[in-house]
Amino acid sequence: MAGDDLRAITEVDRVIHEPARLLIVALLSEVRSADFLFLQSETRLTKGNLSSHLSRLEQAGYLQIDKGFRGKVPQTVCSLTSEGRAAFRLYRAQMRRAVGRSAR
Amino acid sequence: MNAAIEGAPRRPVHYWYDDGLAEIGVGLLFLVLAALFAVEGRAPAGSLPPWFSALGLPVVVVSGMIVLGLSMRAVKERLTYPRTGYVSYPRTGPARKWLAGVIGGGVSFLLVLFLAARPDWMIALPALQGAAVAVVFLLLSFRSGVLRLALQGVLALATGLIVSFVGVGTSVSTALVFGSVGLASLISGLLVLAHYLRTTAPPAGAA
Repeated sequence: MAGDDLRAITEVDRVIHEPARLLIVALLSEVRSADFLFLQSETRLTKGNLSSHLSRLEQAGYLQIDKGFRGKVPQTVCSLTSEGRAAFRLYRAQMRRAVGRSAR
Repeated sequence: MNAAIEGAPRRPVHYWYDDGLAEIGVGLLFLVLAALFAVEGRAPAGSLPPWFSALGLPVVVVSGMIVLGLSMRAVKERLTYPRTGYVSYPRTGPARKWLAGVIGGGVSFLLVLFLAARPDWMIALPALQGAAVAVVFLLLSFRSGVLRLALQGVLALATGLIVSFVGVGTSVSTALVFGSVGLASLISGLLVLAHYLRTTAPPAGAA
């Protein structure tokens, strides 16, 4: 049983498991949306790096990206899809179980 | 790793307080309330119109919260979002708003009934008000991870207890509780805003 819980860590969602993407998803999990500038200032990633991680999440169907304008300034707003939120919930549950087991 | 996963979702809530504007707004609202209670407490009997006590507080609270919400959005739009980004928070559903209203109204109603039955307990009113403000600030601090909000809650509780112990008139004591918390929030907010403006700048190339 303990082995099953620990083995479950190998089945975690690799799209979310990557540290930069995990941080992005965690930041977006409790808000409706946030823009590129907020995500960049929180993650400290370069523009190109952040863009590629956002694209990867979008391809997985976890993220919706809307490009528009705020006044006259271009703005990229990101929000988690319902699939993204569900995937993050599952990931957290799997990690809690695995970390809980290994701590005992 | 696990702590980071658990802590990151709280960061956007913390971000709301990063620029100090929320504390400045709440501080100003509390100071207006304190002024209202001070006027009521210092005015000679019969000098204020009868509607002042009954309507003054709800009008100031409701209009103050509306003005606060609108002005906060406008200032953040100009000051915060261009520097460190925009976050859209989930709207509070009507069920939660009603629940908060019913709990707040219910507690106030029970308190009024209790004080009407036991007027000798009026001396403890500032302590109860301080405790109520402290609970709100502590909950906000716990939710956002902003420690200075907890300190303002402790200050509210301490002021309430001291004012109760010293024993001044009801309206004046309420003015002291709200005034001290309002002033602390305002000063804290201004210091945080000054630090925020010093340490952040709009990205190069932004309009």
